[in-house]
Amino acid sequence: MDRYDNEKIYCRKLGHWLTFHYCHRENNGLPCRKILDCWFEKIPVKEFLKENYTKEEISYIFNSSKPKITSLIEIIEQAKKRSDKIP
Amino acid sequence: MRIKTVLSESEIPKQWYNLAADLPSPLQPPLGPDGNPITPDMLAPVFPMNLIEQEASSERWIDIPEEILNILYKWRPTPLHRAKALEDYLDTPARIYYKNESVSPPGSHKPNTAVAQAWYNKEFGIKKLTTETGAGQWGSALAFASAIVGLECKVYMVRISFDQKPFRKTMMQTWGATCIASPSDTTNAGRAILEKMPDTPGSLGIAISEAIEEAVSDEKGETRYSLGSVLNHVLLHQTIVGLEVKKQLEKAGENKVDTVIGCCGGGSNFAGLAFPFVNDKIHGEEIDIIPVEPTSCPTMTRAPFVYDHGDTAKMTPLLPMFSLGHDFIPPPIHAGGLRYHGMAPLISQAIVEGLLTPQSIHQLECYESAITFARTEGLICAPETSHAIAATIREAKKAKEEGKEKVIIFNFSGHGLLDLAGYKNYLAGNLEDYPLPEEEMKKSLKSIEGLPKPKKEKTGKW
Repeated sequence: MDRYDNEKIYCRKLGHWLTFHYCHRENNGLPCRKILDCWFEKIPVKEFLKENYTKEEISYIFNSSKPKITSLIEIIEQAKKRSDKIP
Repeated sequence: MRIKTVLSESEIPKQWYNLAADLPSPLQPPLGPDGNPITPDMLAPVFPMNLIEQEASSERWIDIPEEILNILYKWRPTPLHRAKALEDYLDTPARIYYKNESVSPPGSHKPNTAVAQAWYNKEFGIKKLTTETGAGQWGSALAFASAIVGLECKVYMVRISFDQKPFRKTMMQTWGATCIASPSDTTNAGRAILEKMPDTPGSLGIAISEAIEEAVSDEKGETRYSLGSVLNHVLLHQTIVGLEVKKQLEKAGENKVDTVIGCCGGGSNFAGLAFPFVNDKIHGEEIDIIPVEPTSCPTMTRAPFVYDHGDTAKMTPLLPMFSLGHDFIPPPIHAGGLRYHGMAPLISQAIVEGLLTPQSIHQLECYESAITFARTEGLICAPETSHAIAATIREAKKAKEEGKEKVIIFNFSGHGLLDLAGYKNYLAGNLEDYPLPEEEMKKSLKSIEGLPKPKKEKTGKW
């Protein structure tokens, strides 16, 4: 798992250099969904994924939306209740 | 020859310009997750009503409160420079001007809206602002504004950036903001992540969720969320830039502008310079107005016009914009402000109308241009600003080929003194160009299949 952890790349999202260690746990502990696009030229990243993650995990990484921590609707409903209290 | 044209404080524009009033075709309404138009009360948990009113306003001119002007005077009006040394280097007949927004305390255009937002929030009775930041440019602008206006400010900075970008964090703290690593233990969103992964390095999506949650869950109703780009009121506040430029060009003896250029990520620095000139174009002037984006992260030059969420967590409202989809993550490019995957709705609609002609430029050409600019004009630009410089150099070379004395203006939106890593990598030969492959584009667009598509309304005049 940690074979490539010290390899460096410029992060697409954050704007600074990072190691592969970040990229394979950025997404709620799972790899960033752009890991293939960023790393395919530098390391055998497909093999890395196959070796270290289940099919379900890979499917989650690449095919599902990022989990909503809290939904906008829920937040808006909470806010409506709260805004009633503003003098 | 006049190199620098300045305005006195008494000459500062007293109103912002709202392009929504003049767009020949109406702006599509923002949609909620259910596909229905959002209403002001739905935004009230995160924005004060005075800003929501600006967001929805179709008034052409909106007065800038005296109290806001009094703060802006700390660095405004900003100087308009004639880039004579660059002109000489390029041997171009074009006259090149740049608006120097890097002279603000945080070093970019962003305080123009940060100050306004902080002031309106305070007027509304808000005590505290929250926001998220990656590399820290917006976070530091809001920290500055909050300090000056007298608000608490809490910035959720992605944990790994928090650890690796210490100087922006220190700027925020110096201005009295609480800069907290995200995920944090102060929100449900953050705690849920930390419980599962105590050593997580965080992500931008989590940071946004935390900042919004904190605003929404304040039972006293004294906290709101602040966004530094994309929204109408943000662009409105930036128009002071272009309005100053128009006065300065007149002082400099320029009667006709040929080309207006700005880098364009979420759109605020481009809109700030360009919208007053878009107004001129709508009313008959012939001006090329060019928003510039990285070739590796195209939102205007290659993507279709669709509705999209503004963040990966899908927590922000659906807005009509040019987009690569909410799952799109731009390729490696050191330009924080250009990393937003969706374009501001006002800019999108102006593109649909044909009022703007977007360009995309590879990062190597951008850095080469930034170096040229630094070695002629002396200023080291922010990575995103280099896109505007690259487009300006292209246009100046074109003017030379055509033998035309064009007047070109671009927005020098920020300095790069805290972003030197990109220069270091460029100078060491470590940067590479990365045009977005068609396959990747198709994959990204799949994520927005099924979302409602707005009608493309245009008059066909441009």
